[in-house]
Amino acid sequence: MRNHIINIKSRLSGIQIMNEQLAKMCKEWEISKDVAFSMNLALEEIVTNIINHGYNGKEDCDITIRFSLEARNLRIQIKDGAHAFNPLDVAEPTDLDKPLEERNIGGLGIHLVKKFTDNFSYRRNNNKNIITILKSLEHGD
Amino acid sequence: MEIKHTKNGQVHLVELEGRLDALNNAKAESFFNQLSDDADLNILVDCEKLDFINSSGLRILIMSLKKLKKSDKLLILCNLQKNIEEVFQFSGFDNLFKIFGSKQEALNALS
Repeated sequence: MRNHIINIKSRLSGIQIMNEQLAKMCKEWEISKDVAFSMNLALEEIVTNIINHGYNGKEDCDITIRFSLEARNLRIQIKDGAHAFNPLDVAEPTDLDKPLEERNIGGLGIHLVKKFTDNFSYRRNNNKNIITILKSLEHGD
Repeated sequence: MEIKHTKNGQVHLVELEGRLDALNNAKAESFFNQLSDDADLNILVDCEKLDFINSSGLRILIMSLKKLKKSDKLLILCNLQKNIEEVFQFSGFDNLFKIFGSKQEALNALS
């Protein structure tokens, strides 16, 4: 199993560093374009959520991201020190098939994480929020 | 991200290149706000070179669509890459936007 850990700050430049590291790792680990896209989307949604809702926009807080390449999966764990916040408690959008006037954009990011990953879980441990996402490597080409 | 904007006859042609996400929001948001406030023509967004979109990118497009609708104008899309198309499908946005396989088909639909 191969691992890689990055530490970012809760600001836009942190997201940029995260995206660059993810792209580099996916190349080194020969991850398919589809899996790389899914994980990038899921990570951006989760980390943006942590910055905006967990840390309430405060810029100097820590987020640790651990990437693990397993036999059949890419596993990513995202850890932050914000107040307890379970993104899975965010209500699923119920208006996805509604016309434009009735559409609300809230909750869409977390909905996309669920759709683009094979597993999405949350736990609270030692005053940290720990989110784990998993993507099977057997998707796509 | 690069935004290339030209007027092609009766339509604003907008070519997006790169990533429409948290990092590029500000630029894309002010661009689309301005264009949909003017609302003088329909907008065709060519996504051939758009590699990435997330929920904040979708939000910008939907706000623009809502504004344009008030002036009876459209925002339509063409040439979505497979992954981007999935984002639209999973969001239910494929029901809100007219999406075409090629620029020509999109232009034909507007004319």
